[in-house]
Amino acid sequence: MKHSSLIALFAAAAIFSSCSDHDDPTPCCITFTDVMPESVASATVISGKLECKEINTGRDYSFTLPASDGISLPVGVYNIDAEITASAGGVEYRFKASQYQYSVTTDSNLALKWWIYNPQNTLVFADIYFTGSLNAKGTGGMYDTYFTIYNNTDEVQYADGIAIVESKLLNTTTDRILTPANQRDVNFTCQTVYVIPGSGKDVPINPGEYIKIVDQAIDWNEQLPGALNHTDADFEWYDESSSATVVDTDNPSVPNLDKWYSYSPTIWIPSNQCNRSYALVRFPSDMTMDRFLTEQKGDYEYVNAATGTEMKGSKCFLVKPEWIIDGINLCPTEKFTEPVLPQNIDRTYAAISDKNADVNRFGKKFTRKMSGTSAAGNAVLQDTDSSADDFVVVNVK
Amino acid sequence: MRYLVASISLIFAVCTAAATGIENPGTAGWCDTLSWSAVTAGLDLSRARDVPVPQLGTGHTEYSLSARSYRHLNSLQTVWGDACFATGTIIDMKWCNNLDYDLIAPYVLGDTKGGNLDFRRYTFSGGYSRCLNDTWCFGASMKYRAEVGWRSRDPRVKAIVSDLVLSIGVSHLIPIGKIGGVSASVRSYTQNCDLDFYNPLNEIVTYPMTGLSTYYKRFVGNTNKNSGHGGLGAEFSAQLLSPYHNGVELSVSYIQLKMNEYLRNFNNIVLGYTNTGVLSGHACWNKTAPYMHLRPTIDISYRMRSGTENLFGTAAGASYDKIGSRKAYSARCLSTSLSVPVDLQRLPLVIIPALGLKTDREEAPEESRRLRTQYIVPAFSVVWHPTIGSYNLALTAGCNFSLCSFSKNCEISYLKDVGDMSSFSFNTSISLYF
Repeated sequence: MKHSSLIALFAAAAIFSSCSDHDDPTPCCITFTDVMPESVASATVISGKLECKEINTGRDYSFTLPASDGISLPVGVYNIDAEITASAGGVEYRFKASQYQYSVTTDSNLALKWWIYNPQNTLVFADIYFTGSLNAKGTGGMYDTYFTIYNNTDEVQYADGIAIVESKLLNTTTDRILTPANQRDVNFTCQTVYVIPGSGKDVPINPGEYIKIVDQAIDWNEQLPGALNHTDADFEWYDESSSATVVDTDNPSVPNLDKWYSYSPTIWIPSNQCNRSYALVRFPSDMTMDRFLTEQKGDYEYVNAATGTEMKGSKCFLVKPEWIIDGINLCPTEKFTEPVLPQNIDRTYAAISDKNADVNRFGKKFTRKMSGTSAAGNAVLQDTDSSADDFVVVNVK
Repeated sequence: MRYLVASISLIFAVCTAAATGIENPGTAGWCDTLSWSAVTAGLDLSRARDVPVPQLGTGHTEYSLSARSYRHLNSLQTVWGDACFATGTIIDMKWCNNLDYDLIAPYVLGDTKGGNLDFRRYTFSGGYSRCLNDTWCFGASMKYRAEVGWRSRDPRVKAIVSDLVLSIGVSHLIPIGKIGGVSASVRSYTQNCDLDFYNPLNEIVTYPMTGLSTYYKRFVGNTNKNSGHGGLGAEFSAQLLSPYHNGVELSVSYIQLKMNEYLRNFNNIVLGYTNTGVLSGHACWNKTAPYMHLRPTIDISYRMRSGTENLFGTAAGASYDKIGSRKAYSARCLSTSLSVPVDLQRLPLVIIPALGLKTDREEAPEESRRLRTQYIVPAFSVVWHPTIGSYNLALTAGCNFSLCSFSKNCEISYLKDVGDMSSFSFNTSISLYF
């Protein structure tokens, strides 16, 4: 009797121990569908590579392309980067494609949307300082914000006509956009458009040089010791405010940007939480402010993630991806959901901090990395269309 | 009565808190023919220069105060209880901010700084045993431990442990003059660890450690500062004891424990879990010789632990859906010890020479990482138990020297490239029995 009791008890122990789950991942087969740009739709892949990083484990998997039989990946969530050389009409092109947070749980087919990759862009964001210096109370940022536009070539580039636009959509949103025109890979939905004034060749930027564009071109040191002096700025953006209490400061010795549109009835303050996207845009030569405001309206419908109800978004305009010459997604790491910019502009995002609204973000800026020196001896800034790789966060002073 | 104290320290350990860690409340009534109470003050410390497991620290200092009592209410009923307060410091813990690393390893919350960890521990246990007749007894007991660990400088830690064990057991006096017993226990364990930085000079990064200096890449950063552990376990044991502590005594036990690690800052997701099984055996032989009582004892324990990491899909806001898991860690530990307590009844003195051997093998197969650690631990303890009036005093002093060697096939960031390490431990206590 005693022996049977013992056996029963140990059998119970064995059952207890076997109740734990053992769902080991089995590899899944991923096949690909190549989606080429229309102009080179018949391009034939010559060679290439595909790199997958599983974001849970950080493990990297590399494959060579073409992979007609697909590839095998364990279950996980992957950031995928691919680069190929392909020929179309006897000309070789370099293409890139990427997919952010692609979930692999079963065998599946992934459509890779390739874009022509040109690593030598002309004008790029060099510095972006939108947090401002920490105010005297230690509660928020000053408005000594600015950004710089750098000539990344060995030829003189002209900045007049370039628009600086801020996204309407946040990189933190979980709302579902319903209107096709506002989908992230169709158009860039913006809520401010400020344009560098000039007739085409009035604002030259020499190779290796930059222009500095600020919110208010004043010496902020006079208000807060340690803040920045912007009296040397090339441009400032100025807003006629509808409020008597919220007004802008205009330095008459520093030219203002042309204001095509701003959602704000008072003054435009770039997101100091750094959770929106920004782009440099060169419109077609026949684009005017009136025509833009008439033809590119971007009102849209979306499903609010919190309430599940359909709502309307307004006070915004549409910018075509092919007009964008550089862009950057900004977002604190813990709040990131989906990049606003099309992936051929920026397929990742730069984070000022891990934590949302981190007070330590004030006084810090995004600075583009230097990738080397050109044949003419000018600094070449890195522009791989991946702001997470291209930018670092540094103290502004 | 003069002989009682040393016997109690041995006998009570065998009956209710054997070296296997399993208690059988069903055998408690057989432990002693006398009722007694005791208060004890103790000091336990250890020091090491280098250690193979820095998560446990390079040593500790612990002061303790306890009271316990064992009472026969009548010829059939027995009650006992134990209350203990301990406080001290774990020295220079690294890559771990949790308490009970041995229990929850390898899934802990770590950072690069670490430091000393102060702790306070409150332990309460008690039980009741009743005999139905001269041969059958049953009993139930409960043990509860509340422990808090903290650090008063960055990284500031507050770890709180709640550990409850409920046991039932039955024993039977079998015709060969032995007591056979079986018992079963359930264990419920929780730990919450909060981490904070009051004065960071730079961005602080915390790491959800996953063993052998690897960590869960996705949740590395400065947002993951709160972790939790929850475990549920069961223990089964069987004993063959001697009512008068002569001859051979045996016990075996099996423990199964599942321990989850939760990330509080990420919607309480279960980052990973361990399944631990421990098979233990204990054997001793009581031999009375002229002027002395011998008790050679062997303990063997084999622990198997597997670690599973969960994989999560695309984050939708603060929601992380589990899409799979992978077995990424395993550990095997075999430990044996031999001790030979000798009760020199006339002095009155008990001397306990002992030798322990332990082999620990950790593996992260997907990362092709292996670490094999071997320990040899000679130890020596002395108990002096004079009688003072109607009281019995017990003065205990013990020390051990642990020599460790290891081999590894990979770079393990927290483990220096030296082959041998050593540590020294000392403990002393004074008990008053009445």
